[in-house]
Amino acid sequence: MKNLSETIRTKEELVFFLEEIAKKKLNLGKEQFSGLEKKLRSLTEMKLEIAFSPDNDFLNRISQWLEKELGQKVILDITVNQKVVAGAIIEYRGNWRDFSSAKKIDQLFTDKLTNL
Amino acid sequence: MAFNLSGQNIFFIVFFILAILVAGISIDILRLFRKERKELSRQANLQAQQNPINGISLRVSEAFKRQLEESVKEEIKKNIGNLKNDFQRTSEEIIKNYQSQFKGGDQEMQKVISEISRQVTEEIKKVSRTLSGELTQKFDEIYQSTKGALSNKVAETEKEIENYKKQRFKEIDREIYQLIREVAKKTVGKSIDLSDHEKLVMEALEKAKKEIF
Repeated sequence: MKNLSETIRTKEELVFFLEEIAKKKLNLGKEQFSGLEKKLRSLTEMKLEIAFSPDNDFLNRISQWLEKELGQKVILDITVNQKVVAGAIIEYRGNWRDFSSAKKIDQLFTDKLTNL
Repeated sequence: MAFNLSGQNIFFIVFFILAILVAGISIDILRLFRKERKELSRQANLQAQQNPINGISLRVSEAFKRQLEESVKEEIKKNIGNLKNDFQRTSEEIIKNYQSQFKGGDQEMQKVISEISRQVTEEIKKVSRTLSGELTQKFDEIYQSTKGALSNKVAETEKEIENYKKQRFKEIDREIYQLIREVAKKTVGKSIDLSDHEKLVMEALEKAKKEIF
């Protein structure tokens, strides 16, 4: 069986997955189920593109930090891409920022190439 | 003095001389005949005067007739011999004269030829000197103009080569930088340990907090 992080890639998948668990395990009523779905769908999503596979400790650390900073729980959509080199490319509420080391390296060499 | 005696001219001269000689011989023969005729008529008159009995006409004896013919023939032979001798002598003189003239002419001609040759040589030398000077000047001009043009061309070509070299170096540098960039990305990514990766992600989140949270 695949790891959960590999099976659930998007917010929609997570919602679907949780709905299924709720139906089978919790035997929730229709109203309770609707409330849960609503709550899940109201969560904001943050996309992180990083160069390494994070362990659970690091994921927990990020989640706690984000809850503290944002004042709410956030669903993390994490992509591992070694081309990032280090750091992270972050997308949150339609805003996108590249804080990767790859960009720094590109900038360094772009300056060099421009001055040729 | 120049002579221009071709074989044809010599032939005409000899022919002319022969014609004169033949004419002279003919005149002599005619004179001789007239003389003989006069002689015969005179003898006939004398006989007629001495022998009036024999009648008016003079009859010439056969012996006399033969003697006369012999004497005429002899005279003619003598004259022809004289003519031959005269002709031979005259011809020899003419030939000698012409030979001497030719000889003199030949010497004169040689002098003239050598003089002409000398003058032509001098002229050729002069022309050669003049031409040499002019050619040298022309060559100098051509050399200078070509040198100038070539210098410009060389400078232009050197500039083009320099530009090309710069361009190529630039391209090579660009390729090198791109290569180094890719290598740097790979090596940096691998050289950073997990804790540093985490630290850098947290730093990125801190920056994002300031900009987009």
